[in-house]
Amino acid sequence: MYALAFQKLIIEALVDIFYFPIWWYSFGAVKAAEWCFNLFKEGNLRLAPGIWLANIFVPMFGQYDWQGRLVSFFMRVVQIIFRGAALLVWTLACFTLFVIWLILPLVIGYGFYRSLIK
Amino acid sequence: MPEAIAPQKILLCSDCLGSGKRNNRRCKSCGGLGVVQYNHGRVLFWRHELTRFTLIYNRLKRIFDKIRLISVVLLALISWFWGGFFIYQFFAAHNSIPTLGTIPEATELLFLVGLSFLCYALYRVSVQRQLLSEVEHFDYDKQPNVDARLESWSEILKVPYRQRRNISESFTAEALSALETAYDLADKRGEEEVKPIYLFNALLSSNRIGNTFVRLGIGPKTISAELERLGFVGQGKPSREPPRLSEEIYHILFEAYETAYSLHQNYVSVTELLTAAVANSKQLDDILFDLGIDHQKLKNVVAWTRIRERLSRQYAALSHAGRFRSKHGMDRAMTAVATPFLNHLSDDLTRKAQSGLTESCVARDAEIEQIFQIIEGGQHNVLLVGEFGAGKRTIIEGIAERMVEGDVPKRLFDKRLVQLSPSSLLSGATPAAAIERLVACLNEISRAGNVILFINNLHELLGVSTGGDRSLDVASTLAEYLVGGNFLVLATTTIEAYAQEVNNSKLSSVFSRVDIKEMDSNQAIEVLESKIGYIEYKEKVFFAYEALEKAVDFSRRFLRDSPLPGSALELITEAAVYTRSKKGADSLVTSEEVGAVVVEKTHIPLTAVSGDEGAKLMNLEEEMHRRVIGQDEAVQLVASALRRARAEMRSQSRPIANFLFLGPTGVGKTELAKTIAEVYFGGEQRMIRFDMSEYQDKNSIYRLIGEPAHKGTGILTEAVRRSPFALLLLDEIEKADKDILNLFLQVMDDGRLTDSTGRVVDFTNIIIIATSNAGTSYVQEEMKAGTSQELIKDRLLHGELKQYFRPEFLNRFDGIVLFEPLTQEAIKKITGLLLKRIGKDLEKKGIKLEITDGAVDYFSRLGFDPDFGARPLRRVLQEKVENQLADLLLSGKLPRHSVVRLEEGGEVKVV
Repeated sequence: MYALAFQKLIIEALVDIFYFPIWWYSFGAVKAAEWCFNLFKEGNLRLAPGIWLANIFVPMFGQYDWQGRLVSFFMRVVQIIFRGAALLVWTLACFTLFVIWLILPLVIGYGFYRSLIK
Repeated sequence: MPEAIAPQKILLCSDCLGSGKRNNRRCKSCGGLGVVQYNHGRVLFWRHELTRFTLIYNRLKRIFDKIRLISVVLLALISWFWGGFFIYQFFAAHNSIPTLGTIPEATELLFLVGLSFLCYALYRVSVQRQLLSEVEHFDYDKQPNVDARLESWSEILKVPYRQRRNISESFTAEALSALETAYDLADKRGEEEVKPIYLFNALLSSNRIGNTFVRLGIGPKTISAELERLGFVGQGKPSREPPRLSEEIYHILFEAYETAYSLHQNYVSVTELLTAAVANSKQLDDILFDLGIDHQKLKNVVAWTRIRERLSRQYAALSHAGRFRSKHGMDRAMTAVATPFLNHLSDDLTRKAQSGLTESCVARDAEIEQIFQIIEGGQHNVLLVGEFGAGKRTIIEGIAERMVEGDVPKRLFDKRLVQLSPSSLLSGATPAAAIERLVACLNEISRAGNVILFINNLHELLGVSTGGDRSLDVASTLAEYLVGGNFLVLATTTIEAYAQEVNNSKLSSVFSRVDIKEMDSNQAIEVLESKIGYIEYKEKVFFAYEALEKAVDFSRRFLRDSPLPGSALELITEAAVYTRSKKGADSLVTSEEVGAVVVEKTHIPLTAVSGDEGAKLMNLEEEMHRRVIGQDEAVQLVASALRRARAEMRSQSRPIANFLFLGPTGVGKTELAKTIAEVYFGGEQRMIRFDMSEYQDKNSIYRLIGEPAHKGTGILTEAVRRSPFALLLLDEIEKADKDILNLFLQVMDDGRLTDSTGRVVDFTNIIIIATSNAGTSYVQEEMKAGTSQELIKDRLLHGELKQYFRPEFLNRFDGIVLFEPLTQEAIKKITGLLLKRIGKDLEKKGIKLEITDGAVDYFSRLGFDPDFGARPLRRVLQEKVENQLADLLLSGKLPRHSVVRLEEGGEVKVV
């Protein structure tokens, strides 16, 4: 019975190697996408341009006089631009990581091809 | 954990008996499902192949998986080191680092090989860690429905595939492995079926289960030994036929899944299997019961491990959420205004929570929800009213934590919770300056817009006034600002202070009162469980569950200076230190150590604390008769009532016992009360004594329970609150005012009394003894006339006593005991007792007292007076014996080691 079990294990291990690329582009890709999305959410929470946009006409630091409102408005616009830009960079970085996940097997495959065939 | 899960109805295929296969083919009757349960709108089935072959295969696979993972990681590292070695060689040869173009080909290849191995390792870890499928997410709309559509397989098989769920895929590897071990154990013993006892035995080898039993004070080895003794362990005669899972096991598996589902857990672990196994097997339940573990205790300990897991998850969530909050008191939209002056006089609780410096708040969700409802409902501020130590501040800290996590109503969202410090506000300032500071703070808070103010012990501020009739005081200043509704205030105060200071001030209208009651025992245990980790870590000991249970029980009964859970927390901290000093590090704190600490703190004897005094209670009459002579009926009645109380056969919402002792003076009423205090409560000092002749007018009720809106509380309520495990002696009760008797009517019925401040005092651990001389002359006359005692008592109850007490009052007593006048014989025995006591006093001085029978006869004749009982006897002994002995001692005629003899005629002779 042990020999049978061992045989089954070896066959499964071989099949597993072929299943690995399929996993990479199916369940693995979904996991990687989730991970990258969580990373993006973290960045959005930290930079929060949405909160600045929602409060664009609310004066900062309780300065309710018209000068305060004016300065606040422009300050918030500047903040939204910079924070928005930062978030965009962050999003691109997250997306790049996901793309790396997707192209990594291709890169490795190409590398092998280049090293071995050339 | 949910209290009761309805017994699960499962449908087991009668053809394949749950395996889903017949003759190695899919069973046609059940479509290969084997065993199902229709629940939460889905068909749940169990499919996890258990055969001798799969057992071997799974075991090998676990080893193989480990070896494969380690090998792959090692190969990746070797490839990279090898590649690195080529780069080093290149560097040594060319004295420069290779560029992309010049990098050796072998290095590039090895780097790629290493990368491939690492990717494969990532895949393996991900696959091995992941459950095949998680437990369904809890749906509040889909409550367990065990009765629906379970009649036939034809109906079950009509359910579409997407609504079917194999629950075995949600079991952790450890849980499945335990099931496999159980199968193996049953197989080795040649059993036909795998029974719960084998599953239980298999579970014992799990670390988590082992720890659970250690917490219950019984190591897994003891349980294994017990199983061995009962013949459930060890080799048997293996059968050719492999075993199959029994129906009980299927019930256990489905119940474990249901428990995980109700707990919103996404996996089924060994702990769920354990509780389900014990719940579904009478045999197991009996074995554990014999070892002193009942099902409820087991469930509580399992819940304890879950509390710890939940707290660590909460802590992680809190520190994650804390990262997004400003550390400078600014809201996220930057609309707030800085509060430099306020910051100087306050403490930012949300910032503390961000840094993890607040205490976790457990078992107070209902109170926090109530506070949130008030806040969401309108403009009202909230005042938490509860006793000192009831956990008001912890609730506020819990709110601070929720504010950091953002799990709060909109009015609290993205705000700061700032605690005003009365000492900083008042220090070095005149009352006028303090009020000025307060006004400055309140102005800042109004402007800031993101501050929720918290004032701990509001009453500490309220006494501050600028003086004079029309002066400014803090209460009105605060009220003025709060009426405006510019900001929200949370405050705390005690029940007493609320009644005396807040209730009559303007503040009462701006605050909504939330009562923070003392925790009940279960809540207190939950709090202890949440805090125990730190104490265990600090003192390097660990606690048995029983120790926590007893700590709460003892605190409730004996340590009433502060309420639960504060008192119990203090007790377990001391028990941890005590255990470490007595038993060393890494030892188990049991209920014994907790009991020992209670004894040290309160000086109540351990037998009284632990209740381990069965033998003593059986001989209670004898014990009492050592001090009380005669009065057999009284002693008998009292002893049986105490035995009932100890065996917990009494009603738990009344005092332990209420007695009325009737009889002439000097017959032993007070002496019997003192004896009870000594025997039951461990000492005469645990007797609270009131001479009711001092409470003859109506107003004296206030002396007992306190006067509303006045400082201090009543002497009766305070005495019982401070020592709730005591004997309450009400001497000469007939002399008390009728209203006071009504007060005791309630106490004897409900076992509680509310004092002037609204605090409820518990009388359920009190023995109430009222003594009375009412009707004495009648009793004496009747006794002289030779009327039987029963008849006298009956006539007394229906005649004489009605002048003094209402029938409903007399009805509240568990026993009305008529003390007989003392006979000459009894007086003689008492004389002997009293002379022995004098002898003991002399013994301390090294002098021996010899008492002759003649002396006893003489003194008892001299001291006998049927109207006054044993009192004249005391006077006689004082005059005739003690006075003479004192003279002899002072004149130096009684040196140490001398012998004094009391002779007939009362003569004192030095021998």
